[in-house]
Amino acid sequence: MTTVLLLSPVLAPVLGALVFLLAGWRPATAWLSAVSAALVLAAAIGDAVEVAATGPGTALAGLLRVDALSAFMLIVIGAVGLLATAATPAHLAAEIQAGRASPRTATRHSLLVQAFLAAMALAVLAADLGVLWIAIEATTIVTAFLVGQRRTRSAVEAAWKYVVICSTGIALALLGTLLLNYAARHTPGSSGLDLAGLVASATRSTPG
Amino acid sequence: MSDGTYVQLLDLACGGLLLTAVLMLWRRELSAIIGVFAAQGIALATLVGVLAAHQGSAELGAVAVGILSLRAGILPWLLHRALAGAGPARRETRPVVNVAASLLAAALLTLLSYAVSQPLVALEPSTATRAIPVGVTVVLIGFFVLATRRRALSQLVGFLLMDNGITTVGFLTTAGVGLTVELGVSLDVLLAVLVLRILASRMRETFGDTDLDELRELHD
Repeated sequence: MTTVLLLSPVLAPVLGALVFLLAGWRPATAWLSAVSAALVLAAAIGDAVEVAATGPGTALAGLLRVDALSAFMLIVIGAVGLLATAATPAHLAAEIQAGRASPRTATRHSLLVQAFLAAMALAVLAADLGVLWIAIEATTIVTAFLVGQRRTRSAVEAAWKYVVICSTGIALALLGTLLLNYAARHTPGSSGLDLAGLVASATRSTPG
Repeated sequence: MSDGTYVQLLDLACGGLLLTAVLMLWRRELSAIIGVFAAQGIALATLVGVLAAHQGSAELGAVAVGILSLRAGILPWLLHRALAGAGPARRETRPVVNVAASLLAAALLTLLSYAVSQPLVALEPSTATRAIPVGVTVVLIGFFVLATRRRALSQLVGFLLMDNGITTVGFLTTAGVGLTVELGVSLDVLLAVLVLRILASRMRETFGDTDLDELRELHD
């Protein structure tokens, strides 16, 4: 049960993205984004109930892990994602009517939003700092295209500034991750970048 | 390889990294900056190659070849193509900090990184870890380039400089587990550069030039 609840927030948007990739944006698939965001929210609530009842759970041989904080963040992602995707069909229809978008750009928008949801869910569920870093990097790349979607001056400017600031931040985070890995390897009884292991061995690591 | 040659070659590669990072601050021709960046890629690949030869690890040797093709081949080639499309503006005009002050700042950043890296060296003193401050210096100089240059392309080079520094630190600290780490990092870098290149070409379409001073529509 925990495995299903942990996998579905990542897999539902991935499947949604695949459908958009194959079928494109059309009246039949217009509400698919909202359905997948609703699934994320439902699984998040399920995770929260499970964590409250039995404590933190893991899946996929410890690659994914849910605790109280990640369940809360997952609920936030699901709720905000549901609100945004529920407003999307009307918004895209209006944009297409006004000539500012086409079914092609609508497809790309929906595809990117689904990929963004999947990457965010993976980032909060990852049990390993390395996987967490890769997931956050993925959200940066996906959202860079979402921000610069309409090729107006302000959109391109916002996208450039967003990417430069975010990729610099994420590069510094990588440096921190590498150094933490180095320090963790010299701590007795530690297990690399696993979050739970790092917390457990924190008191034994050398100060300064 | 004898221990003496290993130490000398490792120090030579690290010296190359540091020298090319400082040269990037000194030169203002964008095409020369890209050339220096390619030279830094060669120095980084040499560093990894020396580590591979010292540990007798074929895996690490393959990583060194991969680094050589990506950082001394593909990335400079992408930057050259971006530059060729950029039109007549080929110089870093009016950087926020002038060249002499930049070089002084580089010296200060080097001192700073030697000071803050002391605990890292103390954790496991060896020839490789004693070179960690060089990697940190390259990261700091890259950050400095990113913050003080105005051309989109020089900012891109600053970001890549930071990334070279981070890769250096990664290989000097986690010698042995390199392949997956480097593969993930390199793919990410390639992806980020592609994104930035697409954005830079869109910026040229909409703004006409890639001088970031033009980007003044969005601010508080």
